[in-house]
Amino acid sequence: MTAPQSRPGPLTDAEGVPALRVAGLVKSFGDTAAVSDVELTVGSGSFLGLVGPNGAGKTTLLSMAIGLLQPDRGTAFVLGQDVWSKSGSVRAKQLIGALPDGLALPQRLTGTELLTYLGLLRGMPEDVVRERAAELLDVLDLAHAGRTLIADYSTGMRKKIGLASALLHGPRVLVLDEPFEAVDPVSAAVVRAILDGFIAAGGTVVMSTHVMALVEQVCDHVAVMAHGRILRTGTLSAVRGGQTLEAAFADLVGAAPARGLSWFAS
Amino acid sequence: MVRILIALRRTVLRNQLARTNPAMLLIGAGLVLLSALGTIWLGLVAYPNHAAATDVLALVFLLWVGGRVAQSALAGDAVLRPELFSLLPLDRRRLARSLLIVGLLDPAGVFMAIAFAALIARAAGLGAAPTAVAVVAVILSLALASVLSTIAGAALGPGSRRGHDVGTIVTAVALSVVAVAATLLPALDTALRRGTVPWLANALTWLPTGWGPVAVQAAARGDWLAVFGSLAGLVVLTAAAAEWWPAVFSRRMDAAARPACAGGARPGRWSALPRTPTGAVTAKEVRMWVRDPIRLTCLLIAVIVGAAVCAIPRLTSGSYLVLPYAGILTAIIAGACACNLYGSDGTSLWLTVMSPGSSRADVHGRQAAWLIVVGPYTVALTIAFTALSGEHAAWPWVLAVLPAVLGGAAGLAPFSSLVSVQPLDETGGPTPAYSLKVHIALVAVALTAVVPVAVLVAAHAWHESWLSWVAVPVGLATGAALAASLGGLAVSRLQSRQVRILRVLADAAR
Repeated sequence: MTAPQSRPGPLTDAEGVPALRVAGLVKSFGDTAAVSDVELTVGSGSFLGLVGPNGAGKTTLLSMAIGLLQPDRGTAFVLGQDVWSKSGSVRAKQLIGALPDGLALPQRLTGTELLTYLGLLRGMPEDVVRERAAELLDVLDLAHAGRTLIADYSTGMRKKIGLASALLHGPRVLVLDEPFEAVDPVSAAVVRAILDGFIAAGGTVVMSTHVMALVEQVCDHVAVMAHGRILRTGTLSAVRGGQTLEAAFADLVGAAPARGLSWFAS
Repeated sequence: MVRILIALRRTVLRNQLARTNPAMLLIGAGLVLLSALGTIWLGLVAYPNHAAATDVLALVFLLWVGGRVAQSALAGDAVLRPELFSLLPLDRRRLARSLLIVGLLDPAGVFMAIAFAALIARAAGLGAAPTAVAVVAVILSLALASVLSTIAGAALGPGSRRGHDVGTIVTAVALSVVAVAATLLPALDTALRRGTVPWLANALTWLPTGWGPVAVQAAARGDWLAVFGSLAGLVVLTAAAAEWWPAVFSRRMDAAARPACAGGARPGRWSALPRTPTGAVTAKEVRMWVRDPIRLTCLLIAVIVGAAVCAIPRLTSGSYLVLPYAGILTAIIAGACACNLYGSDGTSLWLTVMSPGSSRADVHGRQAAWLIVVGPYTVALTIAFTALSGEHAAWPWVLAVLPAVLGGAAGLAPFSSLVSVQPLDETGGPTPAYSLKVHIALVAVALTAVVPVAVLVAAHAWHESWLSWVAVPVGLATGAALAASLGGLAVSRLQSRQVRILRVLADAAR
């Protein structure tokens, strides 16, 4: 196993290579097309927000992009490494830090035990694992839960330990599915500071979310997805087109006007 | 309210049945029905005396009630969970009472009623008065079993994780005892008829499950004080349990509303393990074996059933013949417990998928952890029980078969865990298909000892004692070869199929 990178640094050997490139990904579940021939390129050093209504195919797309779900067709490249080729997948997975949505962590481990297990599993030196795990738990305000099993964590704590797991090995590309879901405002500020630092150090973040305001605050690029397709992608200002992201999003996905309940009037 | 709850339960059960394999359902119901009819037969056969009949019927009543309560503690009420009602503006005592009545109408009660009819069948041969007493005793015993199973389901069944963890382990012990007793029923039946185990006969009649048969026997000899005492005991106990139920129910509702408290996992006691990928998986897996209630339950069942099945012939008939094999039987059952590790771990497999090159470490770490957890106590059990039995001829047998089974199970554990992966059900418990897989694995693990057993059988047939000692290195070599070869196959399978397996687990978790 190749030693992990100690920290995300600027790309020198892959100048101009996108951090993530999704090439014609297709996935169907039975008769339902979850992702239809999606192309997406995320430049190195970008912070991309992937937004879309429920059932748009965001989680399916991200799962295929990082090697967790076999696509029916197409592939994805992380810094030029093909996620679905035998030779490229090992290198690609060393470069990715992932926080998938809806997948479990070992419930009967504590946060410290989980990070130690993951670090050693990736072949990291023990002292590095110990130092990084302690710092991650401290910064993410999980140190007080040292002896608490993950099964007893709140939803927000699980998101945070998931983020710590994604960051531990020093990835260059973070793929985060709903990282701020159920995270309290104070912790959210901490997470944002961590992600800002990650971007400043040359890393790339791809994040799915439903919260448009959050995307406007933290992302520099946006991709809008609906019905398994990318409807629009580009810089935040280009996608907004002079209005709020929420308004632009509603225009793009064709949201029906909101209605109240009839019996409230009676 | 009772009518609404019954209708709700019926609708949900109907939907659940629609998703259940009908063959599996029929086989399950058929087996329980056969057991119930078999129990009636015990009420029709002749006994050497009244006391023997009372003891045998008290034993089968205990098995039925114990099994019902344990099953309820393990699974809880799959439909009418107390938390379901926590936000509804209902009076808790009234709701609790209604749930108790619904519990009386549980379909499991029908099978129990058929089985308990054994007492009425027995009493019918004793006269009208004992028959009337038997009818009352059966109704009271059914009511007691129903109330106790409702309480066990809420107090120990799925709900709050901690309560469920404790409940699962307690239930494991109870189920093991019931399973051992049911397996050895013919031997126990014979021992009770002959009156060779008076301590057991006394214990059975002192337990509330024995009070019904005791009342019938008392009615037959006209001891109406004993009849009244036994039946009144059942009434008082049932009433006391029913009175306690609202408090249990209320505590469960409150526990469900409370956030989980900080746990008490003991930190880093596995620092002696190498700080490598394989060492990391080994440490994680050892923790899982100790902390995961399903895994721990299975290991407890292995040691209780393994030791008890081999020790009971000593208690009932004085035979030491099978005592040396307790460790081997324990290892076989513990090996079968490890047949679905990836299914038990669920979607956390994604961590292995995202850690490049970790498949080898994952498989070898799981093998090492199983051997660390199971090896020492099965070896100790084998040595202690063989020495205790005085069966010196058993030494080459146990020393040859145990390493073959330990190595074979260590090989089969990761390999079988990657074949037909069975996700857990929505409450985090094993599904019927999972249980079926464990039973198949029991046979597969036992078959890993075929080679040394063949050598031992040849040695026995040819009366060549030196050959039986040759089986010992053969057993060691078989175990090592199976652990290595099946482990290698498991690594290849995990590398090639991990994403597909993750998909199966993720689909089940939705």
